[in-house]
Parts: sequence; C-alpha cells; structure tokens
Amino acid sequence: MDIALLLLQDGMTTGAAYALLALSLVLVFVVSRVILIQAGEYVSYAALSLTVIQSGNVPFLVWIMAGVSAIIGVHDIIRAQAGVAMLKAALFWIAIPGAILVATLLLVPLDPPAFVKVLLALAIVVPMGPAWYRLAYRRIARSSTLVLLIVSMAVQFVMGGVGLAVFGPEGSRTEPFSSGFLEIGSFSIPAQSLWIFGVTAAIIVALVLFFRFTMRGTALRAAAHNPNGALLMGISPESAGQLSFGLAAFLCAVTGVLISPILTIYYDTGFIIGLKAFIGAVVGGFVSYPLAAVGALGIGIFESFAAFASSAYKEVIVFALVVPVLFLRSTLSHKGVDLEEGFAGEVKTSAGASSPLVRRIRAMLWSPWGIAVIALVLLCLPYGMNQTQQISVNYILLFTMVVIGVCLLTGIAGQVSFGQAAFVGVGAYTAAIIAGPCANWDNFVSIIGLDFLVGSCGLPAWSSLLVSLILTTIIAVFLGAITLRMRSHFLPIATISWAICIYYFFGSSDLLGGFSGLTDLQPLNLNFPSNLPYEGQLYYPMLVVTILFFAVTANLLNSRTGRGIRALHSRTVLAESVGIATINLKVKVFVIAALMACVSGWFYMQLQRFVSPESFSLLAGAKYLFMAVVGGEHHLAGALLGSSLVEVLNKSFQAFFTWTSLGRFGDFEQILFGAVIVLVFQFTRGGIAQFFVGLLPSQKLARASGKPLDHSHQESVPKGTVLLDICNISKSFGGLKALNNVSFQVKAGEVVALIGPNGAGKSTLFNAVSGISQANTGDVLIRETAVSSLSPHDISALGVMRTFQHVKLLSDRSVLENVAIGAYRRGKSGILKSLLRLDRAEEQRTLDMAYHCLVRIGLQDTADTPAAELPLGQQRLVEVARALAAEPALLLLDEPAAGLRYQEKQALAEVLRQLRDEGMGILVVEHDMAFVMGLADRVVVMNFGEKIAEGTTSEVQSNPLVREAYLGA
Amino acid sequence: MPDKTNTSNILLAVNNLSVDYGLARAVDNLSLEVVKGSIVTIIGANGAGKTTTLSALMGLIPSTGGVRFLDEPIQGLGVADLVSRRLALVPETRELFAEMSVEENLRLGAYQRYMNGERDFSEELNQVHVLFPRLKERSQQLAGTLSGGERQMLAIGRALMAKPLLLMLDEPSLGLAPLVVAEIFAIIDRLRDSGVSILLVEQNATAALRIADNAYVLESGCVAFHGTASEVSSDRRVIETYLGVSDGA
Repeated sequence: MDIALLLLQDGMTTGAAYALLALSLVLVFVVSRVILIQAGEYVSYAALSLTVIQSGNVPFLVWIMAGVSAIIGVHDIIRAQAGVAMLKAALFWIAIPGAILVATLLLVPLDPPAFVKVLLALAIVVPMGPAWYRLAYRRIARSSTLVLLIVSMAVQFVMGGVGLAVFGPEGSRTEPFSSGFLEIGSFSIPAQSLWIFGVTAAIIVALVLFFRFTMRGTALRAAAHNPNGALLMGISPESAGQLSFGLAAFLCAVTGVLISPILTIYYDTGFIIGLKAFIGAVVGGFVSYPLAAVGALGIGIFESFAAFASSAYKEVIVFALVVPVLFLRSTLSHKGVDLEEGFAGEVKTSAGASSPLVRRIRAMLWSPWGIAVIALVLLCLPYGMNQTQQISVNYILLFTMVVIGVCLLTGIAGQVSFGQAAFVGVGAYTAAIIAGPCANWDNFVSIIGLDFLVGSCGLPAWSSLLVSLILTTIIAVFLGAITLRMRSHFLPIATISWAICIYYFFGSSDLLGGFSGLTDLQPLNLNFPSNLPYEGQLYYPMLVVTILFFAVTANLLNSRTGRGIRALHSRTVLAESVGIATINLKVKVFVIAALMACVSGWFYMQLQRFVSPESFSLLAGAKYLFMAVVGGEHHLAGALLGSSLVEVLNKSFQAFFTWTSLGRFGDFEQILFGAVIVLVFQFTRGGIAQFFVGLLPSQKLARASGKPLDHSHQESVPKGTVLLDICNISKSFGGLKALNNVSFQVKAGEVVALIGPNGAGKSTLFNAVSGISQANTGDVLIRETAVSSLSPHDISALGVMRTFQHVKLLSDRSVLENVAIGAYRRGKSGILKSLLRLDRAEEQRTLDMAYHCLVRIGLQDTADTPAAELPLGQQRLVEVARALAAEPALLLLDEPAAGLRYQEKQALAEVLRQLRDEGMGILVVEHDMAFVMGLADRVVVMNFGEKIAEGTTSEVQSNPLVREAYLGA
Repeated sequence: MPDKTNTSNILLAVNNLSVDYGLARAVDNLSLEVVKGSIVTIIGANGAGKTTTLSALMGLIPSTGGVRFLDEPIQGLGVADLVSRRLALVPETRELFAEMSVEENLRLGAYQRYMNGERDFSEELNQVHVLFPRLKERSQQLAGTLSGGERQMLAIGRALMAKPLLLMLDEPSLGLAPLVVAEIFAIIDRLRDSGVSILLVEQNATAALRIADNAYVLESGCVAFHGTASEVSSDRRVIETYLGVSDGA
C-alpha cells in the first residue's frame, strides 16, 4: 500500500511536469498547426543552463541566443519601412536579448541567490521560442502540416546537435529548490515535489487568467479558434505565432528547471520527455488543454508503476495505446482543426513549358541511343567506383525504394505517413532472423516456444524475403485499416505513434537483440563471376528492383486505379461520389508502400550485415518523408532526386567535418543537416523535381482512339419511373433547421430544378441525397432503395452522379483523365492488372468513352489541357462530362451554369434536354432563372429549409410566396 | 455619378483592380468609388467576383491596380494596417469567435486600437449596445449559441468597435428571415446617417438597391453597369437578371 502511494506520488510529480509541456504542445498546435517536436530541447537547455550557472559559469548558450536574436533584429531593422517597426525590432530582438546577456555576464560571477539563477536560466531559453518561429516557421505558416512537421523535426535536429556541442554528453542534476520533506502522518513528500505541484498549479492559473482577462490572451485564443476572424480584427497570424512560441518555450523551460533536481538531464533527455508530453497532447487530440494535462499526468503515473514493475515493454504499450485513443478522438471530434481537404498540401501544377534546349536534351536522353547509354552507364557504374562510392550508390537505391512508396502514399494519394522506416525494419529484422547466424534463429524459435525448430536454421536468404513480405502485408493491412480512417492531423500523429511503438518493440525485444541489435549476419551469396567487391555485386539486384518499382508504380498511376489514387488526395468526397471505396483503396496503397519499404529493409540487411533499432526510428521515418518532399513528392522522379540529394549531403558533411576536424566537438553533421532542411523549405516549394521535370521522359498523354462507341451495356430506365423519392426529410445543425419536412420526387425523363435564395437548404439537401451527410428524420429513396445508411460510393452504385458547387477536379491532370474518373465504377481492372499493364484494352475503352462525353459537352478541344487551366465555367462543364461518363440514371447538378457565357449556357441546356429525352432524370440547383425556366419541367422552390412551392415554371413564377422569397419583401 | 472634381469627398477610390486565382481572373479591371457618407452596393450573380473584390480591398488576397483610401494609396498594406486606418470587413461567413462570449467578441473588435495604445472602449461598446440591444442582453452568452440574425448583428457590432470610416458588408442578408433582413437593412441605413460609409455586397438586390445611393453590377469580374441606385433598379437588364423571378409578371 505504502509502495503504491509512493509510486503514485512519484508519478504525479513527473506527470505534473509533463503536463506543462503538453500544454505548450497544444498551445503551439492550435495557433500555428506546428507539432512542436523541439519542445523537449527547451527542457534540456533550461536544465543544463541552470547546472552551468549553478557551477558559477556562464552558459555558452546565452551567446548563441543573443547572437541569433541580434541577427534577426538587424535584418528586421533593415527591412522595416516605418520608424515604429524599426523601434519594435530593435527593442524585441536586440535590446532585450542584449540585456539578458549582460545580466548573465554580470550576475553569474557574483553567485546570486538560487531564484535569480533560475530566472537567468529561463531568460536564456525563452527568447529562443519566438526566434525559432521567426527563423523556421513564419515564412511557411501557410504550408501543409506535413511541411511544418518536417521542419519541426529539422529544428529538433539542430537544437539536439547544438545541445550536445554546448553542454557536452555528460548528464547532470541541479540543486533542489529545497531539500526538506513534508510529513503527513507516516507519509513524507519531498519538498521538490511540492515545488513542482505548486509551480505547475500556479502557472496553469496564470495561463487561465491571461487567456481570459487580457487583450493579448483573448486575441491569442481568438487566433487559435478562428484565424480568419482574428485576421479581420488585425490579429496577424505572425504575432500570434510568435507569442505562442514564446509562451511554449517558457512552459518548457519551467519544466526543465523543475524536473532537473529529481531527474538526471542529458542533452538528449528532453526529446524523450517531449515524447511523453506528446502522448498527453495526443490524449487531448492536440486541441483540449485540460485533457492534455490529464493525459500527461496519467503518463507520469503509468511510467512510475511500469518502472517499478520493470516492464521492458512499457514504451511499446504506451505508444500502442495512443493509436486507439487517437482513433476515438478522430471519430468523435467534429470540432477542432479539420484540415482534411488539402492536408498533405495541394498538388501543384508543374509548368509545362520548357525551353528548346531542355527539350532537345530530353529528346536525346530518351532516344534509343540515349537509353542505351543510360543503361550502359548504370551497368558499368560499380566498376568505375571505389568501395565507399559503391556503398553510397547502394544507399541511394535503398532510399529510393522506400521513397517511391512515400511519394505514392503521401505525395500522390495524400496520406501522410511517418512510419515507413518501421516497415524497413520489419524487412531487415526478418532477413536477419531467418538468414542470420543459427544462434539468432535458435534463440528466436525457443523464445516463442517452438523448441522443435531449434537447429533447423539455414533457410535460403531469398525465402526470408517472402516471409518478410507476408509479415509486412499483415502488419500494414492491420495498421492501415485503423489509421487511414483518421481525419486531418490525427493521421500523421497516429503514424508517428505506431512508428515509435514498433521502434521500441525492436529495441525492447530480446528476440531481436535489444537496442544493440543483431550482428555478424550472413551476407547474400551472390557468386558473381567478377572481381567486384560484395557491395558492387549487390548493386545489380538492387538496381533491378528499383527500376521495377518505378515501372510498376508508373503503370499503376496511369490506370483506372491510378486515377482513383490521385483522387484520394484531398478529393475524397469526389472519389466517393464516383464509386471509389476510399478506405479500401487507401489501405491498398499503404500496403504497396509498406512492401517497397520492406524490400528496401531486406536489402539493407544484406548490405549492412547488422541491424539495430536506430535505423528504423521515427527520425529515420521523417528522413524518408523529407527525401520525398525535398525531391518533389508529387513526381516519382522526386524519389530518386531526394534520395540522391540526402546521401550526397550526408557524405559531403561527413567529409567536411573529417577534414576540418570540427566533428570532434559535437554532432555538427546533424546541425547542418537540420539547418539545410529548414532553409530548403524557406525558399522552395514543391521540391527539386520541378527543375528536372523538363528532362523526364514526356509522359504520354492519355488519348482517345476515336473509334465509335459500343453502347450495348447502357441500362435504360423507362421514363416516368421514380428515381429519387425524398420523403419528409429534416436536418438541423445545432438548433438551426437547415431542412424542414421536405418532400419531392424526380422521375426518369424529367428535369427538376431546385431553386431558392442562398442558405435555403439546397446544399444540405444535395448532401443528404448523395450520402455526404444524413438527414435527422425522413427517408431518401433512390430507385426504391433507402440510402440513409449507405456510404456515398454505395449510392453512386445505384446510378447516381453529381457535380459540385465548389469544383473538384484533379487540377494538374488533363481534362480527359478527369472525365475518365467518372467511369471508375464501370471499369473492372484492379491493382494487379494495372501494375502489370494488362488493363490496356479496358483503359482505351474508358478513354474513348470519356472523349465521347467531352464531345457531347462541347469540350473536346480541351481534352489534353490540365483542368486547372480552364476558366471556372468550363471546369464546371468538365464536372458534367465526368458525371456523364458514369452513364448515370440520375444526375445531380449543383449550379452547373454559374460562370458560363450565354452561348455556353444555351449549349449546356441543349445537352441536358437531350439527356432527359434519352430517359435520364436530372435534378439541378441553379440561380440563373433564365436557364432554369427554359430547361426545367418542374421547379421546387425552397426557403429557410422548407419547400414553399412546387410546380411547372409558370405556376412557380406566378406564386406570391416565391416572389416574396426572391424579392426579399 | 459622384462628383469627380471634389476628390476630398471621396472616401474610397478603386482604379482598375484585378485579382487572379491561378490562371483564372476573378476580378478584371474593376473601378469604383465610395463617396463619404454613402452606401454603395455591388450586386451580381454567384461567382461574379463580389466577395473577391472585398477580400482584395481588405488586403486578404493579392491584387493589382490602384486603391486609394482617404486619398492615400493603401494597396499592399496588411489587414492590421487597414483596420488601423479605419477600414472594416464583415465577411459572408461572419467569422465570429463561436466559442467566446458576445462581450469578448466585441472587445476583440477593438484589438487594433488597443495595440495603438487606446484603452477605453466603453463609448463604442455603448453605441453598439444602443444599435443592437439584444447583444447587451446576451453579452455573456457564447457567440456560437446566437441565432442567425443575432450573429449578423454581432459581426457588424464587432466591426464597429474598430470605429471604421468604411464598413464593407458581404451578404448581410444571407440565410436570414425576411423580417430580420429588414431589421438589418434598417440598421445599415442608420449607420450611414451616423457617418459610417458602407460598401454593401448583396444577392438580395431589391433590398440592397432600396437603401443604396449608388450601385455597381458585376458580371464575370467586370463592372457591367453602374449608376445611382434608382438608375440601376430601373434598368431592364438588371431587372431581368437579378431582381425578378420573371420579368412580365
């Protein structure tokens, strides 16, 4: 009992410290969308600075702080246009940091009282918060969360490296604030714990007061809740970001000075503490302060008990538990930051024009002769290289294999994963166990209780590849099915969580040799008849596999499934509407990416003949993402470019530091690497691939063959059949009735127009019909099937297609490809056929069909144009053509005529009339009365969620209620 | 037409404003003027570029051309600067701070004045309460729990806390019942009389033209037609396209 209490008290103490950190993570995230991975570094910086001060020395860190601030200050003063701005910059970036520097230099030798030392340590660390915001995040404040996360990782690299260089590898504890104990009955609480509780409570109270009662605090809250609204008040995102980073640095630094008397702090302790706080923030979904604090407290307590029970797997358990928590939060959370659309960043249109010179080089490169030369160079490459260079090239290939998958998954399908390194690990460890020394195998089978297999080692190396692929598929399906359902920022956070979980599993498991890993592994028996060293020989199978990966991925993207995959990227609503079961497709793409990572891991083991968890950590996962983003994650070529760049940078840094012998003083490589990442994102968007796009083989545009179409399979519905039957549906949003008892029907062979002022409930009705949201009461029947429980892709299978008020096209793809997406449900080729290019006949039929739809709508001349280059009105017509490609029975059009010119409207109306005469049922929402009145057979008028009139055009026009609604009497 | 010789009378002068979204041009060489103490309305169909124009004037999106406010160039200035110069926008989406109280929302309206050193906002708060007594009754209620009409009132009230000379309103009638619309428009009319000039974007063209002094009709990003409100409301093309469900009835 006593022990339990003691553990509880211990856990609550550290938990309280974690709570402050968790609060800072939430604060920074809600204001700036940055997940503050460097939070822990402020903790170590503050703790270690305090140690240095307590030993009577001036921490070198204060010079760095003042120096960096001064540089920012001078830059701002030069840039400032007004005197006030100049003064502000001088005060904030030069005077205040300068004063802190002077105070430190003067006071430290005098051995001031303990609390002054603490204040100095805090003052040294806190200005780094706003400084980092200025340096790394301000310019990219509007970038995708993916970019922000990578930059945050990079800042952590830099700060960790600087920490090692400044404070050295030794750990230290600071003097406690007070060494007494508080006796309560038989129970004694150390005074330091009381300090921690007291200060944490006081800070939380102070924060509450600040946020509630001061203008700046209120403004910060406003900026977090509604950045657009805050901006209109003149609250700039920059000032809010800077303030939140400053506050966060303060909270972290306080944690550091509080915790350092009870915990030995090393330069890298902060990162681990930061991860614990991260879990707390996750419990709060990165939006709720109280839940984050409670979560962090819980982690502290759990840790304390787990440490007592000395469970080797406590981290594995903790991080595994995070995933279901995230899942719950993701499904329950409607509030908070919903960035689903465009979360991984918009796909940018690449500039199509290239100079004649570039075109000539491209023509040369990809002529038969050029290809022959490239092939020859690739074949002879190892012969012209020494062993180090061969290893480098092999690493580039290893990275490329993983990053092709990352580009596919994150860049093209828009699903951010930080966990690909874990799959590399699965491949490497499987290879190590099965093909390693017999001791590994015997150890493994005896631990998992299959003693009869002891001594049965010596399976061929290639068999381990098969096993690892099967294992990866199982793990990826399982993880993907859970995590890929999560929306917005929950997805990347979930991948971070299981990546850490798998890393700790590798490290904690005796099966796998713990953190020191497995050594002396068997190399692959290649037996090349050549004098190349092993590394040079290994190059060939890796090259073949890499080229294979490029080829199959390119095939995949250039197919029915490929169009679906592209639509997953911030267009899930569209994808569902054309009948794509998005979650299934996401999991499939995830498995493909995982398998590529696994193969890379398998080769990694063959190359290294050593595996340890470090190579498969979260940071490794972040590096793969970085390679993809810096290479250009929207292009497959970005995989090769990014991997090569990172490897070359790595090697040249190593060479530089060996040459200058600076490397002895700390991890300068890591600092420089991080700094390069930060810099790259300040100045480039879209990766380096964009500069090379002109040199890539010109992608063959998907084209129609021009053969006549075979219409035999088109189903026809007799005219007059009820296609859509809306019975008494109502829907309210928090008290506001968006729909109130609305009923009407659409039959085959008629055009029904739905009109009404903005906000009348037309969009809500559209969403209820197409399955995006559900009505509270009432039924929607489509061809006699109730759709309330169906997902949008099931509804589309009933023969319903829609267009969107806010156009949803794949902006960088050709108009023809966009239309072909509409035919998704009519195709049958799956992933396997696409990968192997066995889908060509069907693909050609689909494209012909799409072209035919374009002809109908009068846009055939734009077939090869990227969709984004059309005027908005024509983009709407492309949506209509896309809907036609599905040959729907019921067509739902949301403002199809907006932005069209008079003739275009006439032409559109003519097409719709033809479709009606062929038996299609059409429901159209439109504001253009002339268009509606000339087209519709019946008109339904809505106002304030209610149907106020229904009838022929002339009936409706003479209805006084309608005139009132429109004239706003 | 406003008197062009007397420039001091002109509060806002927009000259050849253009806004591009990617390759599409949303606003094309638009010119307009707002005379001090007047209500100017911009009407037009969905997608004609009305909201884009207001966003560009408020510095929310980049634009080209010339914009002068109180005879000083303001193009390229940030939102905070423009608010300091007494320009305010109530967007179509209202953009209230739903999880904060009515009073906090109003107080935040004066944020830029606070940053410029002012501390006493009681007079403006009083004025807002006089204009919208319901906001006073609900001052401790969360903004997200207000009714549609009250939200619009709060959005206007919050903008007024910045003491704007020009108030830009984007679709204030959006989603409101006719009675509430009438109430809001009556208040807009009163605001003009208290000296606030207004640039009003509306789909409800009839209501807007009834209180406006001048009107601009926007089509595909261009001014198709402009004049006094009565000129515009008696123009046949305007009646057909924007005012009536039918022309003859």
